[in-house]
Amino acid sequence: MSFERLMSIAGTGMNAQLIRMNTTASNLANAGVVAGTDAGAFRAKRPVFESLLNNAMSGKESFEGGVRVNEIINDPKPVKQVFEPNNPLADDNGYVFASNVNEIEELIEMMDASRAYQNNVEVISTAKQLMSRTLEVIKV
Amino acid sequence: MPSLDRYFGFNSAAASVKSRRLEIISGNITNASTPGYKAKDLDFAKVLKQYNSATSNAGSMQATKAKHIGAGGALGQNINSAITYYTPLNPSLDNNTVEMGVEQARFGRAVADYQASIQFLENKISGMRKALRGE
Repeated sequence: MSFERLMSIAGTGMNAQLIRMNTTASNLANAGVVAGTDAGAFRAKRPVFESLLNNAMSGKESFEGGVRVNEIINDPKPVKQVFEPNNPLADDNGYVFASNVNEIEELIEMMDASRAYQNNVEVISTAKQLMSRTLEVIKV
Repeated sequence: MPSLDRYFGFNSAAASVKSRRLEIISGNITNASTPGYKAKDLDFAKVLKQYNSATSNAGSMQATKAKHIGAGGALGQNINSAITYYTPLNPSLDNNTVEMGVEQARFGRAVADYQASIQFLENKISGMRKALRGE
C-alpha cells in the first residue's frame, strides 16, 4: 500500500537528518581538539545528501523519492594555527593546529537538521491519520 | 462485479492518484537539504486529461462483448508523464528548488484533496448501501 511507501520515504529523511545531527554533535565535541600537524588537525565533517532514484535502488521501488547520505566530507576551510610553545603537541616552531569547527555554524546546522527531522515526523503522523481515515471507509 | 467497479472505480482510482501525489510531495520534503534536487509535483489536470482522452477517443477499442476488458484504461495509468517541475520563488545556492513553506502548504492541500476523495467514496458506499437495503 502506498502509505507504507510514504512512511518509508519520510523514514529515509529522518535517518539522513539524524546522521547530520550526529556529525554536528561530533564536530562540536571535537571543536577543542588540537594536533601537532596540519594534516592531523580535526576538520568539521559534513554529510552530503543524495536523493534515491528508482533505478539506483535495483528495483526496490519502495524508497523512490527518499534520501540517503552519499558521503561525509571534511570541511575545506583552513585550520587555525595557534602559537602554544608549552603544549606538548606543539611542532618545532611552537605551533599547534586547532580544528576548523565554527560553533555558531554547527548550532545553525543542528537547528536546520532538527527542523527538517520534524517535517519528516509530521509527514509520518499525517500519513498515519490518513491511513486510519481510509480504513474507516469500510465501516460506514 | 463490473458495474460496481464502474460505480466506485473512478473515485478509488482518484484516491490512489492523490496518494501518489502525497508521496511525491513527501519526497520533496525529505530532500529539502539534498544538493541539486528539483522539487516535483503531480499535475492532476494532466492525469485527468489522459484518462478522458483515453476513454472518449473515437478510434480506441470498444468493449462490445461481456468478456472484453475495458479499453478506456484506468485513471493514472501513465502517471509518471504527469509529473511536473516548477521554478522556485527564491533560488538557492546549491540548486535545490525545494522551498519548505511552499512544500508544507502543498502537502496540506494534497492531504485535504485526498480526504475529499475518501469522503466521496464513502458517500457513494453509503448511497449504494441505502439502495440495497431499500428502506
